[in-house]
Amino acid sequence: MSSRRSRTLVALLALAALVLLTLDYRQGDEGLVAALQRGATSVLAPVQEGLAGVVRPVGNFFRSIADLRDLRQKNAELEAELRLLREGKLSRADLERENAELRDLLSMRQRLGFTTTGAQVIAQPPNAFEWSVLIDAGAAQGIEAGMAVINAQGLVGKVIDVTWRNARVQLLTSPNAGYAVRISGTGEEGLLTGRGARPFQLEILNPEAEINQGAQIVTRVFQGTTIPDSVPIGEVEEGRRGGSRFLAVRPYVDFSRLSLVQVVLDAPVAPSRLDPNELIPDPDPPRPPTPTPSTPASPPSSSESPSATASANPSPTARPTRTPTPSATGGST
Amino acid sequence: MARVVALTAVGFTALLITTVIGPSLAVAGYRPDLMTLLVVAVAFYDGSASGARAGFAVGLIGDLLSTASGPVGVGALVLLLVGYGVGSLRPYLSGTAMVGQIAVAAGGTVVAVLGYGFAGLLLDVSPADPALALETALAVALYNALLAPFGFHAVGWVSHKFPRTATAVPASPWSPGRVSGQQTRP
Repeated sequence: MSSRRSRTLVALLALAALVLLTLDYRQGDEGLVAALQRGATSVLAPVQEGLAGVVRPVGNFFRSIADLRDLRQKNAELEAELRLLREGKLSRADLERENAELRDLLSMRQRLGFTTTGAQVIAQPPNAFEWSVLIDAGAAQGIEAGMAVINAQGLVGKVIDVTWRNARVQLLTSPNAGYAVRISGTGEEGLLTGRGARPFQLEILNPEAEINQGAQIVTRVFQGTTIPDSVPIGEVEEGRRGGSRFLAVRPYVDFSRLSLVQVVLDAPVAPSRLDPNELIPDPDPPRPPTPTPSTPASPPSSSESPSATASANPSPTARPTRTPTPSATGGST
Repeated sequence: MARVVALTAVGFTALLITTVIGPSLAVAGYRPDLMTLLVVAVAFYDGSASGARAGFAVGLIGDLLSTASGPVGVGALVLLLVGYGVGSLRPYLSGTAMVGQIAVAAGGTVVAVLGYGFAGLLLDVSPADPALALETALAVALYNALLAPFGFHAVGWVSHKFPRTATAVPASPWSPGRVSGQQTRP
């Protein structure tokens, strides 16, 4: 009996379902069943919305658990991407710095008017007691020993060893080298010596000269060297009025951050002595006095010889010039 | 009456869980079918008539709330048959309670999902690939089988708290809370 009632019930319910199905199928979106559907949705939607607001964090929690592996993988990918971006940012900052440095170098080169070749410092001193760096330019770029090395701030040092591809630069900080300098404002001359990490030592030749604090020190041409004239070096840390001949000079160049430098290729070599073969003969040599019977002949003294004067103070036009070698101009910037 | 209200509350909860946090419970794109699990559990505990009623009601609510799955009545018809079938099979089920619940949940879910797929194919509303329908049926059945102990426990708790009258359909032999006057396991 019970089973029969159950079957009857099922048959009725199935019939109801089929009627609903047929009605909905025939009437489409405008029928009664569709209206019931919309009503049920509108009634339940606020409840669903409210519940969703409450349980969404819970759902997200479960979803997070399910997606944990994907999240880890995604996290690893994002970290890798972030690392690349950071590296890119660093590279960009490095390029910007290098760009600014190159502009300064160009400005310095144009100001000094020399032909130079650019180089990158590729090796710093191996120990704290060696004041030299290795650059990635050498004889192939026309570099020779003794050439001055500058950067945007001023004089860096001079080339001491050269290979075909590289050169070693003795820094200005080296105590083993001295440079002829002058105070740019007053013209007082001196000798500058490096003292490692400490400020340079400037020995003023004139002990009575008055030196002000902040006075700019520049190079001066000295015989037998190729250090160009008027390259900035630094400024006096403390002035003086007489007294000690030694002054401390703070360098313009930051020797701890050397990166790009330029080697001056065509600085003239100041001769230590004049080549007799290049001496220009006096166009109007003094005639030997004609002996007269009334005046006895007397030989001229050597100190009054015009030729001797001319050789001691050659005119600018008579100054010997250095012919640039092909290697000195090749590869210049 | 209290029992009907309680079961309605359980059904409503299952409905909300299915519609609100169901997507969050998806694993590999498959979600559990809690509505089917509820119908199967009611049929398991209360028999074919109750299963049929529950299936019709739950399926109809699902149809009304779903505007995309096909005409209203398909879900009601499918779950009605599933509930009736599970209730009818109850005397033949054997083994431990847990294994029986899991097996019934899985089997009922497979039938329900395939029934939806077949109805959709018949009515040309969701012409699912048979292979895809079978794959979906198996995946959802597995999910429901895993959740079966919890779903059956909830329905069993309601059956225990709100027992049917003695003249009603005999209770399930594995009901967690038998009431006086109910038929014992044959």
